[in-house]
Amino acid sequence: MNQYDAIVIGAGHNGLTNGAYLAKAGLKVAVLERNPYIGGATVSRELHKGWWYSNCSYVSSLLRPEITRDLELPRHGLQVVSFGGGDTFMRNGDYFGNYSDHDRHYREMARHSKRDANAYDRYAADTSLQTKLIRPYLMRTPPDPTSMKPRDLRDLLEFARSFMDLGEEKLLDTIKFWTASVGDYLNEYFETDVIKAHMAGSGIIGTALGVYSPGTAYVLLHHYMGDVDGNVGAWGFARGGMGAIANALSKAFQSYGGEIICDANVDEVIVKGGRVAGVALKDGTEYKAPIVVSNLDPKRTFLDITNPSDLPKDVLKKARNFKIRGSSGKLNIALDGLPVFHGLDPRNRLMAGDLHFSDSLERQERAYDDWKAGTWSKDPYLDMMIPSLTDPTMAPPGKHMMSVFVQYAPPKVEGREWTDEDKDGFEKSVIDQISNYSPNFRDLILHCETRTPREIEAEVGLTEGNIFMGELTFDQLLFNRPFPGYAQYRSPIKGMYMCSSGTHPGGGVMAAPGANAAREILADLKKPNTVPGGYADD
Amino acid sequence: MTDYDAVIIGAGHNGLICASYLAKAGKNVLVLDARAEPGGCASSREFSPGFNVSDCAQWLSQLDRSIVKDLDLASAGLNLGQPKATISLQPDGNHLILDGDTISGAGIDSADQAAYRDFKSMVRSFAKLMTTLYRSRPPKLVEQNWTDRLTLMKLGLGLKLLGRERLRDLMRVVMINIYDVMNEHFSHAALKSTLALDAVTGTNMGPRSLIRSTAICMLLPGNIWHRLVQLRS
Repeated sequence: MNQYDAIVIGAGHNGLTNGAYLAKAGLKVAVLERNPYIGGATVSRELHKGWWYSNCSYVSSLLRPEITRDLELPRHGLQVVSFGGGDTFMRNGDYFGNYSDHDRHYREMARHSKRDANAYDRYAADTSLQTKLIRPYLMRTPPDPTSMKPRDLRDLLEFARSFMDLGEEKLLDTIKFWTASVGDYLNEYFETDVIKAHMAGSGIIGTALGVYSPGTAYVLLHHYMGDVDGNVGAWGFARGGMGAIANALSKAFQSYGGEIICDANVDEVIVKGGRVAGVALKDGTEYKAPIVVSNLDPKRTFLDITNPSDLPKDVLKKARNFKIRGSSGKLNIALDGLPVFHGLDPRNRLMAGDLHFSDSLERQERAYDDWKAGTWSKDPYLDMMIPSLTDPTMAPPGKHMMSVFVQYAPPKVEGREWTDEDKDGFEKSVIDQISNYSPNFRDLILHCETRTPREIEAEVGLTEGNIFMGELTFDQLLFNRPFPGYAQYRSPIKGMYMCSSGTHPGGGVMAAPGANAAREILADLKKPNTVPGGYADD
Repeated sequence: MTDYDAVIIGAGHNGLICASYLAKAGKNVLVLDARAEPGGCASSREFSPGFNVSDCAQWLSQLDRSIVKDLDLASAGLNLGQPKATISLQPDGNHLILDGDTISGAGIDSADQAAYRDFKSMVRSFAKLMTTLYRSRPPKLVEQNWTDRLTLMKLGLGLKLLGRERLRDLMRVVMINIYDVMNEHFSHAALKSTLALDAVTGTNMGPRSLIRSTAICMLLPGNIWHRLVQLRS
């Protein structure tokens, strides 16, 4: 009865995706979830009566369209509605509006700087070149550069060729881009502080690095490479909150006969004779399966639920050195009405986009300085959304739900655990910043859920509260994710696999790791592949 | 006479070396310098009667020994001293001493020593790989000619000869900053900061900021990682 063909640990979006493709291939699959509800960090929760919070991930773009279509997620209730634009409010009372309409965007940029407005198309073309380079590799297993296997050599050669095809100049630009800081990259195109700061935000979200840390230009790209309905770079809201994605995936999984078991807290992966045999829960229950897939991050997978004696020494060392530093927090706020911001008409559609208050790279770098010193940013970078303006199901009529992502918050405060007083101080620095720009904001607050890395780790199980399940720096990307030699979803234990965002192509609600891992598992089982190939870009 | 085969602007060490090789090949070479003395950053000055100072560059570690030999700098008066120990002064007087492959003082234990030996051996294998590249011109990657191809092949062979585990180390290490490298290898605070110093000297970046891609590392000798490698090997 407790015998399955495969067990997936963790019912986040990658665990469910992985389970769905294995079940689709005819395997008897169980997805085990520690919490009483599914979704992991892709979840909607009614934490204040009548208000739904996407209380971890809050916007969607990276979810692979191949998976959306193949698993028929819209039929299972998923609807993603893109939002247009965004806005950075400035200290001088002005703002920069990031309109999605090209001509409107040009006029708004030119209002700040004609030179920047003219540079934008060049910036967009250069950046989308990088997007086009990486997108074909999202639904593929990274080749191992140290391997001599024909498959690896073939994939490496193809990978190298796609770079060589760029030509000398573009190739050198590309190398520079992939190692540059987002600040340096933007400085090459733009001169206006607020414009640079508005764009730089995507380079530091969820990352324990600053706008001037090399590697952050790639993080920017990571936020540009998704799409909503084929509109590359667009972001949207899942109707009903991010939990709608997990719910649709779970229905797809169940439609193939998969089983989800909640309140199942895995204690240990059982290994017998060098092969995985199943898992044991903390309550003593055992589930048996010849395949176990961990959707937990690499640290939890190898240092928490696996017996160290079952692992080679180098893997333990690599897992310990895996960088998964907490750098962000979140406030989810139930509002009695719509807040009004200085300088912007509340009916302006920018209000439905991403709102920020950091109007210079320097302010963002200073926010990072606080993190380095072991405390939360006193003047944080906020990525703030009012999803109820787009999706009325998030709050009662006339009321609003606000999601405030906060960069930076350290995993520990000055080296010790977070206390409730720290959490209050963190919350205050965020509320104060918003209130500086919105006179009626404070009075509208009906309920506020504040999440520091401590809460995110405790509830979702992301080590240190790192939203990407491991930093997106180059030493942990592609064939280096989670670590060199183990980037093809196989753990060192026979029959045990990894499918989390800690594997290629990384975090964000993408579902590609789950699908890629399923393809490798099915290949090892010599079963027909059920995972769709990647779409080619136009 | 004002007619030369080559004029070199700047009589720093690179200008002089370039000129020497050209002159050795029989060219008529002129080196110009704005200052009264040659040397650029590699010069000495009597800043107070009887007291000499290395005017700008203050220590030597990267000078390619093959050039010393090629240009017979020894018979031209160059006398290179013995490698010096690095001493990290500690407030309690128990100083940290790095001397060749041994470290001592400041409560260094056998675990630190073993970690240091491992680290040095890793860095040395990477340094060896890069040394072959310093002696070639940076290869073009797409518009290659045979010289570039030869350099790239040498590089490829060198990477393969590192062995699988070392190559895996390299794939990560060239992409991360010195702060993380130090924390991965060491727990001794003074040892970490002493080793990391070389990686930040002369740059406008802090220990968390240093990262260079493999390609840049290979194309632009003199970068941060190179500095770390060369100064301590």
